[in-house]
Amino acid sequence: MQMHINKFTKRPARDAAVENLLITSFRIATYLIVIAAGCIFVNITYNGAKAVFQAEAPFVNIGFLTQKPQTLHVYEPKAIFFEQNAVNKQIVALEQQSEALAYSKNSDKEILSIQEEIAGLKARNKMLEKARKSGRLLYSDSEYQKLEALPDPENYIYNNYAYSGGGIGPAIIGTCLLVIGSITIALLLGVLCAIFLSEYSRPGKTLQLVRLSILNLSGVPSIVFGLFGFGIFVLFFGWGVSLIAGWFTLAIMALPVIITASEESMRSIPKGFREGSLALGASEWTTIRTNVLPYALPGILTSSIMGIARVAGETAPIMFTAAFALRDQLPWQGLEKPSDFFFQGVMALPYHIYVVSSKIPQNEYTRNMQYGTAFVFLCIVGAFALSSILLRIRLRSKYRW
Amino acid sequence: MREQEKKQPEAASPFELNAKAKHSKKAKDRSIKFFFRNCAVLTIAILTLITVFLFKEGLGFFTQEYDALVSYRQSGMEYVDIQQQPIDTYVRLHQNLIRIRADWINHLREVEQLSVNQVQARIETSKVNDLFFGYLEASYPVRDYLASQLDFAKSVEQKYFTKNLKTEAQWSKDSTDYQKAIQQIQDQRTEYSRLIDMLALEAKQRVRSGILIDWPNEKISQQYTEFVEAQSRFTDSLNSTNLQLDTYNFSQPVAFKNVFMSFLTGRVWSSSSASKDQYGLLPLLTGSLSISIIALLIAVPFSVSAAIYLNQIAGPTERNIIKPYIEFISAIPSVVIGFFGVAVFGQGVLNLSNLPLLSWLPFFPIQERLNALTAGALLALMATPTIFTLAEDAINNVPGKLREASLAMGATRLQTIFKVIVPSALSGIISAIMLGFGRIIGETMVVLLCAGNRIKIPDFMEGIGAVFEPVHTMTGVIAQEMGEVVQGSLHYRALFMVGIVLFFLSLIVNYSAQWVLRKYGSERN
Amino acid sequence: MMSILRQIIKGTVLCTALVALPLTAETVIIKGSDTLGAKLIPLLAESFRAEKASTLSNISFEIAAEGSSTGIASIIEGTTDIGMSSRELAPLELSQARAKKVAIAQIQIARDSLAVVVHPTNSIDGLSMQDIENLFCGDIQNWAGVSLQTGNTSVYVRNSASGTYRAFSDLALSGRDYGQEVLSMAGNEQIAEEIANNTHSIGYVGFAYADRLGLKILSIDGIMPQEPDYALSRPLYFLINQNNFKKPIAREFVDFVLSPKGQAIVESVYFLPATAARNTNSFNSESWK
Repeated sequence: MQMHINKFTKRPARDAAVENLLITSFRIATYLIVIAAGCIFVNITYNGAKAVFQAEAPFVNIGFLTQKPQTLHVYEPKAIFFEQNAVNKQIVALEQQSEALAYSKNSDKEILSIQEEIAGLKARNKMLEKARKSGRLLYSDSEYQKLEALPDPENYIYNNYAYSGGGIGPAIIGTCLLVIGSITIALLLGVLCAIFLSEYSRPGKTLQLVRLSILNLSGVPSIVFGLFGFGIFVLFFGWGVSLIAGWFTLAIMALPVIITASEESMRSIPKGFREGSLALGASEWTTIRTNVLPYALPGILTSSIMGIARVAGETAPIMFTAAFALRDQLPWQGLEKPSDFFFQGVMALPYHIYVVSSKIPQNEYTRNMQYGTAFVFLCIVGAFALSSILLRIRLRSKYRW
Repeated sequence: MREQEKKQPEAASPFELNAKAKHSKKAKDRSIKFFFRNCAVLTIAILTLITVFLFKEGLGFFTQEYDALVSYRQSGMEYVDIQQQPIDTYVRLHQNLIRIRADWINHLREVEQLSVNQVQARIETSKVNDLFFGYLEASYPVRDYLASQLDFAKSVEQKYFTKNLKTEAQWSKDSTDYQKAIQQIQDQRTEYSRLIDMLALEAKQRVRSGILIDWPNEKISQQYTEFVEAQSRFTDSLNSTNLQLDTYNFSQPVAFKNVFMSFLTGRVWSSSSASKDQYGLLPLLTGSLSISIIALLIAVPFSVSAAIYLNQIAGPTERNIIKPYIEFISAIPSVVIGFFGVAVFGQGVLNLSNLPLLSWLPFFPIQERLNALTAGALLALMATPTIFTLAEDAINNVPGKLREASLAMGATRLQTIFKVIVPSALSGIISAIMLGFGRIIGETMVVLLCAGNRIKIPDFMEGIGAVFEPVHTMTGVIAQEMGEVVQGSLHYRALFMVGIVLFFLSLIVNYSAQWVLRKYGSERN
Repeated sequence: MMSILRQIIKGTVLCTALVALPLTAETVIIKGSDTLGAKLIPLLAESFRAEKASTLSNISFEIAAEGSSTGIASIIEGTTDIGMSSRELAPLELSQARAKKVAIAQIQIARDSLAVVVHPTNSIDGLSMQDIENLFCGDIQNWAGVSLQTGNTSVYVRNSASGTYRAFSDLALSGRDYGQEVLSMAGNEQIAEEIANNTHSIGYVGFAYADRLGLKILSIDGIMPQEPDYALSRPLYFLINQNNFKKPIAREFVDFVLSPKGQAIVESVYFLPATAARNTNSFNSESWK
């Protein structure tokens, strides 16, 4: 390279162009991620809001959020139903025809005319859809049972769809119960363990090994925890598919994360705090209680909240330890003894989404329910994440050392 | 602390305690420390319980599998399966034949532009049908015969080997009933030989008649010649099967290493089989790994670029909005991404592949929308926040003075990034990638819904087309089959073995990530 | 101090939790096949509750539908009141039940046809049973082997936890294993979705799920699923443990399902009633008591 170039002159334009290209490509990569995630958010929000919000006050579909999942009974106007069937059959026949003609080269015109016919029929279908949607009657099962007179079979076709009516109340409550119970157990055990590991224990090889093992356990797949929980709590202890099995499985899943996070936040407190307190004659426990925990607790809570979000969203561990596809009593109803509360299964939001999307026939009604559940779930988790972020920002500004 | 001083009773000085208070204080301290230590021990015990329990349930697999292999051999089922092998080869030959038929039909429709009826007239003459369909039909007698033999062998196994059905009377291998049953299986060998010879003869006849067919073009004719050669090789191979059957020893002991091999290198996972259940890890392992690699290939460039961009190039407003946004992606439940991804992404790729514009690509149009690519792409989206956060932290931890020094020397922003900052943060970035890999390989619901669940090693010979094949994964199979197992059965233990493999895989990945961070991270700083 | 208090509370909770006690008598736990559990059972549960509303107001149902094998395993383990199954018991399961002193009774509550479906643009209208066996066992992997279409087949089946999987294998494949290339889906609905989006697909669904846009039902040896002598027709069972069937409410539910009102509901979701044409050698409804 030339060695007498003045380093302060402007660089050749080609280098600058390459640099700009690279920077732009980085920017594009970042925004692609944003857009990809945005697609999912927008899709779920758009479809889910249809189920969760409604036009009249109080603007939120309380029924959806509190009722139990019920069968949806649908009455559709008969004439429109038959006409739509006929139109659909025609479309399928025409499509088959055009497939068959696709190989031969001289039939472009024919194919075009068939496509036009299909387009015309599809437009007719759209109009029929609108008429059908305005003319149909929907009843969730509780309303259906209360009906005095069923709609006239002459004018209406009857169909029912499982899990598509009513709401997701028990699932929301079930998820909340699971999360509260498991996080309580995990926080109790985890914080106590972390206090010991960071404050009381002697540094050395054992401690490092223990810390490393706990950190690595946080990366173990959730299904392994589910397998473990199924084997020990459901089968070996004999608790069956129950709330308490779910609590312990999820708690064990969250334990490594909470221990690591608590230790991190306790270690980030400067040594000076502890040393000052000890120098003034306080005991170890008093030091911890007054000089470490108050400052560490917010950090512990912040990191735990993201752990909560993870625990709430897991389907695999609860699939065989706690969750039921349909459970139509709220957990505090119908108990003979107070201890029964712990031995019942519950519904859970992510498992409900799984059941609805893979096991029951998909149609517009189940799609409604699916997206509504996903939207509600996203809102709950979003609330957690938002509170965690706000808490973190507030703490960063409040505690500075 | 000051309150504590005030609470001190009649102490001589504020900093001295009388002996009794000192003693009780120490005792209280010790008891608190004792309490904490026990809590910690309890927690750590619970966590080790996972490992212990997994091993306890999983390692019983080997003894049970050994027993299963022994009974497989001694009840005659293995003998029948050896007899089945020529039929499997024959069926594969027939598949080649059908491919020839498919090429012929395609030629007639595309090159000669015949309508469906005309194609039917040309290709469904009795002579041609005799070849294509008669070839497979020739194997039906042998197949039915073998099915009845398998039923018999299975009944022998249940009568003499299945522990639950064992009668009270002592059973031993020398018992006459058992010997008679085994003798019966061996005697049927003559019937089998007769049927196989018949099959070979008929196959030869039909193949010979096929030479007289007027093939439409050179390529298909060439394919048929190759088929004829393969067919003659098949007839020759019957001899080696006969040899194997002749020298078969029912009471040959099973080597224990076969058990390990059958799990670690078995190519079939079949859990409710007509013959012996086989639990081979290989298809599941390759499925998990191929999906993970696809996901990493997609996620790493995007995440690391985003981390570099947001930390070094973007302004503070952009950073404060986009960073939490990307972190929030990790909060989306995997089920939602799963069903959304199939309907939108999978369907999108399928539609894209059907465009006539892109039909020149060798593996387009694809058939199934549930394949390794769909699962990989969705997993990439799920892993992006993990890799992004950790990489961004690593880049953030590079001391500011390094960056300032580089800029002061006259380097541009990008030169600083590529030559100073990324190398310093490299250990952190690599560690982030490995943790992302650990997260990806452990994901269950997305792969259960999106990967297609075909338990077969994908055919990597097809090159890049292998990403469009459906696969099954270790996590998916555990989730799928966990509910149907009875405690203590072989299937139950096989699932725990897969769990152990997953456990160790993630532990190894995490340990390596830690190790990279420790070893290379400290060197730089 | 606080931590000690917390320890005490934790201990109490744990102690009460470890006392294993049965659930309330008004809960009915039903686990098993999703062919039944995804459509029919919720409907029956609701009608039953509506009928009993005048006398009892507190009936609750717990339904888990992960596949027939899970239902059978649960009855053997004793973790459910009623199991749902869409297939017969395997000899291994019978022996496991005997080992745990469980006497399983199979009560037929409905019949179901398994419809073989393809994409609507597929040119074939029917297959022979031999063709179906060849396709699903992987002997023929190209459509040119059974029709004039070309292209690799994509075969969609259920997973091994499903009774439909086992029932189809017994009825259509003469007990043979499925081929290695099949794609195992989680439920009838997923199969239907995938077939509707794949032009070279073939699979089977319960007849109740087959009547939708995007699927074409094939005839087997010329017979369609609605006709009485269709080959792939199977009974759907409730499984109970005769040694331990004590809950009166569960008994009443089974009676309700077998009553004319319950059977009318069965027919309304496109299953056939339990007393339909084909004669089976399982328990019939009178003898189970």
